[in-house]
Order: sequence, then C-alpha cells, then structure tokens
Amino acid sequence: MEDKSLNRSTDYSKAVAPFLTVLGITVGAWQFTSQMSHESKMEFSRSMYTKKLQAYEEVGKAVGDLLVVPHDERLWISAEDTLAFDSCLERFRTCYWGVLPLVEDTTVEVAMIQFKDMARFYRRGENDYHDLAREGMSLMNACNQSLESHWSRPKRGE
Amino acid sequence: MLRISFLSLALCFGILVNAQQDALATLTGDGSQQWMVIGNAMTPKCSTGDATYTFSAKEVVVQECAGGAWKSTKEVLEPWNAGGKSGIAFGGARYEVKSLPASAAACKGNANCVRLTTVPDGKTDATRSIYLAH
Repeated sequence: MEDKSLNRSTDYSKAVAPFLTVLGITVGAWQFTSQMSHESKMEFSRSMYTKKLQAYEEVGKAVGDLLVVPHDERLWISAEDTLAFDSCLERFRTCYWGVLPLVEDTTVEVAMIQFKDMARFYRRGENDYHDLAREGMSLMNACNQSLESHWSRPKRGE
Repeated sequence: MLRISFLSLALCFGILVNAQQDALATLTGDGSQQWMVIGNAMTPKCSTGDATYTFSAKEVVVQECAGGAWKSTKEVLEPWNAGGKSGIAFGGARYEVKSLPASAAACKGNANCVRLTTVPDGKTDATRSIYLAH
C-alpha cells in the first residue's frame, strides 16, 4: 500500500519537473527580453537627450551671437552692425532649418519662430534691442524646459 | 509674506490686463476706428490684396477687395494672454499688436502705424504681419 503511494508521488514529480523547468526558462526569457527592451528604450531616450542638448547649445550660441552684434546693446540697430547681424541671422536660420527638425519640440519651435521674426523686426527698425533680448531669453527658457521635461514626459507608445 | 505674495499677484494681473487693454485701446481708439492696410491703392476701384479693418470693443469688420469690389465680413474680437504675452484674436488667429514709429520703413511715413503679427500656432512655420495705418 505504501509502495503504491510512493510510486504515485514519484510519477507526479516526474511530470511536474519538466513543466517547472520550461516555466522557469520562459519566465527568464521574458524577463531578459523585457529588460533588454527597457534598456534599449532608455538608450534611445538618452541619445535623443544628448542630441537635443547639442542642438540647443547650437541654438544658444546663435542667439548669443545675434544679441552681441549691436555694440553696447544699442536700442536700435546701426548701419555698421547690419552686415554682421545679417550673417548671424543666417546662422540662426541654418540652425532652425537644419538642426531643430531632428529634435522637434513644439514650444521650442514656436519660440524660435518668434525670435526669428523679432530679429527681422529689429533689423528693420520696428522693434528695439530690449524686445529682441526678451525673445532670446524666452527661447532659451523654452529650451531649458524642453530638456527638463525630456525625462519626466511619458514617451509616445509607452 | 502672504501680503507680499498677494501684492505681487495683483501687480502681475494688473500689468497683464493693462497690456491687453493697451492693444485694444490702440486699435479702437476708445470707440471704433477704421484702419487701412499700408500700401492700399487710393483709387476708387480697389485691387486684390487691399483691406480695411474696423475695430470696436467686441468685433472687427474686415473689408477685403475681391475682383475690384469690397467684400465685408464681421469677426468676433477677443483679447488673449499666454506666456507673458498678450494681444487680440479674431478670424481664428491670435495677433500681437505693436505701435510703430512713422520712421519704420514698413509704415511708409504714416504717423499712426501698427503692426499685427500672428502668433505661431504650432502647425505652420510661417507668421503673418499686417501693417495698418489710419
């Protein structure tokens, strides 16, 4: 009688052991895949952040160059500054069309458009230096906020 | 401390309301005022692109030239403010209003000259500026 029950429990363990092995392998594989997927997402996010940072640094440089052209921060543009101003504006526009589409952020894009417009208005003598500097500051703030929100914002599809 | 916070809040609100009223007052002249697009043909027959804007407190009447005749539309006028900026909104677009000196090239010597610039809507890269005089 005891032998029979011992045999039965041995049969059960024989049947369960492979099942547990398969289950263990499956869970391990799933865990590995999910970890890899998370890692690759993080890697992508990290590389996007780096690209964004580089782009914004370039934007910041272009904005700074434009803002230092008017000597002594003159309220209105003078004739001797126009050539240098145009050249800097060209560089900013290159930045706008060449770099930003890769790391597009709506708030930054709007701020860039407004700065670009303001630079044109300043060049034409419609707005003064303070307006231009204010738009430049707004643009840099928008870049800063975009970088800050990069890690907090849930990505599309997550 | 609380009083200082309230005072700062009231001051910011006051500045904002004042800026909005400034934009509106510039255009309406505290009543109703008609503005012409600078460069409009002065001949009796209008040409395409000519337009006039009559601003009052709540609405704007836009007259545009199409096929040599004026076509009039009425739009609701609303003030707006966002992100430290303010202006007016009508016809589905938001505008910033700026009074310009007569010396500005775009004003073509008009003493009462304003510029309405559309605020980017995030859909297109282009902004539009309308130069008006009365």
